[in-house]
Amino acid sequence: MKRLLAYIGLAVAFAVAAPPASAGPAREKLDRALKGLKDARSSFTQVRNSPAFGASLTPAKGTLSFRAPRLLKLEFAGASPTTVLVRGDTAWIEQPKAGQVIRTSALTSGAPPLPFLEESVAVIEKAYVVKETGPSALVLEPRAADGPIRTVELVLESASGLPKTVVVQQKGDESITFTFARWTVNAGIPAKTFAPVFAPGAKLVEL
Amino acid sequence: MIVRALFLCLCLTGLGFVRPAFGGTDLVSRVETAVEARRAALRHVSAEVVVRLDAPAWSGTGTCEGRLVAERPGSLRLRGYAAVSTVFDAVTDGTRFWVHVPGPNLLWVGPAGREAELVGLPVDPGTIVGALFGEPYGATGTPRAILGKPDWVAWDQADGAEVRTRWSGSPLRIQEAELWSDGARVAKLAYHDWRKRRGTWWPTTIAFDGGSTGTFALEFTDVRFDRAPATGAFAPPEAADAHVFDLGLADLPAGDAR
Repeated sequence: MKRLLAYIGLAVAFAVAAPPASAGPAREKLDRALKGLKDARSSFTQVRNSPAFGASLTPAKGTLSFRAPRLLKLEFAGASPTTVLVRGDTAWIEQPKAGQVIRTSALTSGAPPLPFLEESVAVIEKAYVVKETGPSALVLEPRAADGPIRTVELVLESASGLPKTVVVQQKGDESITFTFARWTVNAGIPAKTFAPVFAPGAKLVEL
Repeated sequence: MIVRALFLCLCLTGLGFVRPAFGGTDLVSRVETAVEARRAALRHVSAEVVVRLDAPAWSGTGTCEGRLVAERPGSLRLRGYAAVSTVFDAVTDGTRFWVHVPGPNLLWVGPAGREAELVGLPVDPGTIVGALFGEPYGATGTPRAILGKPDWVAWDQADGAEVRTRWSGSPLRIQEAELWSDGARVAKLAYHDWRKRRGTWWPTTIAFDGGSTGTFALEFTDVRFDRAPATGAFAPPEAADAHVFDLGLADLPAGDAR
């Protein structure tokens, strides 16, 4: 009798812990990754593609740093180095060569096309409809119709559960593909990495 | 003594220290040849650029990365980016122009050639196209020498304006250009640091000076000449629900406005 109760207890425990029937492996994988995520960093390449211009001649390269919740830094190298720092709803875009920092809303900065860095899939679902398109593939569709994004397509890597590629389909004719090299997760990125501190003398422009 | 002098002269010539005869009718014919050769070889270009804009009407100074595609005689699409987001999308097909700023979702439309006047840009997209293909400010026809300026030639325009250009290098390359009207210089541009890119001589930077409307520069980080513009490359931007500023489509011939 005790053994039976134990089996029932275990079954109930698994039933409670198990994800909803609709959750597939990709969704579970991302959810698991996000729930344990304190910080993450990866280098990436960014390629733009559009019918008007074709694919980028030279992919942009950069590094993404993230610290939960919602501290994000994108550092682009190249001919016109640019750093995008997002803290909650505010974004700073620093262009050292121009000697200026633009302070704007996170929405205008373009950072929201990386919505996969939230606390859980449930949080992502507040703003996006999440569809599973393969065992490691998800498509996010914005619930709001007035944003600049059509869809965000994620392909998850098996080790970390974080995306290895992200394709942002914009409402214009353009898509942006981010390819992440390798995620370093929970290595302890200090909070000061995301402090809005810029080069001395930089001109602050409010947009 | 004479033999020694001749020997020295020959050596210097061989080393390139003695400049060949330059200027006057010789330069005029060499410029014509250079322009014709470029016209035959170069129909379109696509590039990745750094855009520098300093225009009082556009909230001061700005720098961004961008992409452009251009095709003779007057088509251009130039799109600017700040990291992930699109900052502006400027298009002309030679007849009309569209400038879309996606952030606030504003769209200016109007007849090509009046962008500087209507939108406050330091340079018209059509002027950019002419400069890209080495025929700045619509310089066409037969050039003439400029007295006292051995490196310069000029074109007289049908509207009474004059385009002056300075040339140097081997092969001959345009270095700067000026647009003159009513005896005054109204705009100028400069080509900096010509390099051979994918088999074609191309400037690293083209800097436009629009006088009181500001300055505009394109620094080329990558450039290609083998990509024909796609169908629709010069079509109006997709700008659903944009706030549209119509700046004179009514001026166009009937049926020409989209």
